[in-house]
Amino acid sequence: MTLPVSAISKAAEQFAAPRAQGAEWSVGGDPAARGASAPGDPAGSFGSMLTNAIGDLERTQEAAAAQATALATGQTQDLTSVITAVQEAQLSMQLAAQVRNKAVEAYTEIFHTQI
Amino acid sequence: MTGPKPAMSILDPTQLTLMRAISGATLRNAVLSNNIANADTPGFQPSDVDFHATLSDALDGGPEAIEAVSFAPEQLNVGAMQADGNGVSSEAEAAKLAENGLEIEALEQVAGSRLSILRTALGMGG
Amino acid sequence: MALFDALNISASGLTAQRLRMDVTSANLANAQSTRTPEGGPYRRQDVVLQESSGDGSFAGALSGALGGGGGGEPAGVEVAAIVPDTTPLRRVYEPGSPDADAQGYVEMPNVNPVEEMTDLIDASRSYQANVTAMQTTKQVFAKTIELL
Repeated sequence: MTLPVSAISKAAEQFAAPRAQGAEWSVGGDPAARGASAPGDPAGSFGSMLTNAIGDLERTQEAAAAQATALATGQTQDLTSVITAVQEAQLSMQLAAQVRNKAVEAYTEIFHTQI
Repeated sequence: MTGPKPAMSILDPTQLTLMRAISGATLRNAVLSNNIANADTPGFQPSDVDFHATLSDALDGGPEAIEAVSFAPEQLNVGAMQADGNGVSSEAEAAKLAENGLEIEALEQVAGSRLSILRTALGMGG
Repeated sequence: MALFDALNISASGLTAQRLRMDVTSANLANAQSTRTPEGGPYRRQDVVLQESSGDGSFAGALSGALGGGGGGEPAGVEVAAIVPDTTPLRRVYEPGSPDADAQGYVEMPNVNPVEEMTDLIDASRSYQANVTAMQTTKQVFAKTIELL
């Protein structure tokens, strides 16, 4: 479970990193060189939205994992909180996946319009 | 879950813990059923499986320790409940069995949900 | 697999309790039987139960071969024997009976109907407990398959 989250995190960081620091885009090269940097840096605010979503995601995943371990070791008294935590984690992941998919879609669309 | 275990798992330690807990609880189901079946056997003493404690202890050892954990029934020497030395209280065993059954269902539900989370993360539906 | 084992274990309990009920019913039916094929009055039968060792069953051998653990594996219950009750027969004074001995006493079966009824209720209760256990196991099974 941690593997895909960290991959998404890395992608989010890349989106959120300011142009001035020299973004480490690993796909398609540096957009600054392509002249794709947008005025007012809307990619930054989208990127921070993505980062926030990822942060929430990591938190809910960890909470769910802790609850699951408590259930497995017999330390949980309240089944409802376990199920709630897992449901929340599931929804968070679905949200993050949707955001990721849209981000990738937008990214590919941007690069297609360059040509 | 007997049989050869993979060298490295795509599943994280929490998922492994859940799987082993289900294993232990399933064994407990058999042991408690055995207690009920032998409720009238002279001299029989009930057993139980404390998979919670076994799993707790193994958690500190990391994924290998969790995968390698094994569960065993322990005989509880409760003395005689009946004149023939039988130590089984059918009502107590039935209650434990019902509770254990619900726990297995809860563990399976949580394990299933986490797997679907993994599938979502991998970009697969469901 | 432990879930299948649990079903077999509960089934063995059902079989054993069923046999207990059958024997108790036979005792009740023969409470007045002064003649049996072996000669003499009917003697109360009793069922001796013992914990099953699981040896000889295919599942036991298979799990043993897979290293699933030998001794200590639960395997259910089995009927060790059906033995006659050694309690002395009742002697009833009935000089007119064709089975009366020289002193006019008839030996009647050592069956106490009250005791038999208690046994019957107890066996039936234990039977029900095994049914409930089996239902719990089946429910777990169903849930497992549902999540697959």
